Amino acid sequence: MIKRSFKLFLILLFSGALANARPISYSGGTTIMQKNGPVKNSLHIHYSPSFKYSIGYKSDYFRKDQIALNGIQLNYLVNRVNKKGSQRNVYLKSSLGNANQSGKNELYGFAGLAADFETRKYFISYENAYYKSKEIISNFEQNIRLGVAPYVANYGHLHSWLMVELKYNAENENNKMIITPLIRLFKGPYLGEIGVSSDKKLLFNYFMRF
Amino acid sequence: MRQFIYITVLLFLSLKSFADNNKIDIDVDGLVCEFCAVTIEKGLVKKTEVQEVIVDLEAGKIFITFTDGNNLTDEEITDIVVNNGYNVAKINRNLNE
Repeated sequence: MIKRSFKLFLILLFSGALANARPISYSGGTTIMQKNGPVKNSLHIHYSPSFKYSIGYKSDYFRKDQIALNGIQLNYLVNRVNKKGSQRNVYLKSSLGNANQSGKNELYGFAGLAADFETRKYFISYENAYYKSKEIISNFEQNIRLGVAPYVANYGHLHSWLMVELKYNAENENNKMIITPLIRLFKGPYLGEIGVSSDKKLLFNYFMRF
Repeated sequence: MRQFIYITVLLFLSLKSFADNNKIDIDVDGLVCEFCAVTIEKGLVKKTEVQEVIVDLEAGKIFITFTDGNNLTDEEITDIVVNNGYNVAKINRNLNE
């Protein structure tokens, strides 16, 4: 049982991918973003030549329809506003690659927009993503996150956030809106998130920057 | 004797002034999270002139200590901060004056 749980933990840790953390690192930085959400698992590894854009590998696996996407993703920082005590960002994201379902392969494209506003105490973000291929996938999803830090930690200490994620997908007839309360913890270059969605699925995200 | 005391005091003050020039702090706009700070810190520590970087997220400040006899100009510091996606609000030199 313990062995099986540990195996499951490792699978969760290294199989999926992340979305809501920032898609661009500092100049010369590499990031691994992993998300295991209520709908899909994904993995995004990117390199940022400058703080304005990043390029990398993105893999998504939609569990219900067993669709696997593997592509090259480009993220671009459209706008950033820095103020004393706050920051807001707007990003454009796109990728191109191979979509696979039941042995069938075809080209897919992805486009998305992400925006966030953050202070040391509050966080809000919006993200959308549109996936399209000839036959395998046509999917539009939207994500909103609201967060509050129960305490404000200084540099080098453990930071904690209580968040709620609202995921809306009009094409999912049984469950258009999924709500996931989660806890985000981060320290230095490591970030982890864990939560349980309204449809009783585990959310586990992991993020590492180096 | 009095002359000796004057010279000693002057020498002490000039050494203190030299030491003060080794430290600056920067008010940075947008410095709201650990990742923001790591970004700027990594940009600064790449410079051989920089000995130590200390971040104070609460105050939105970055404290820099330079290696002996070295320094960076305001323009160089601003370039590093801006090229990592943040804004310099103010650079404070001669911290102990």
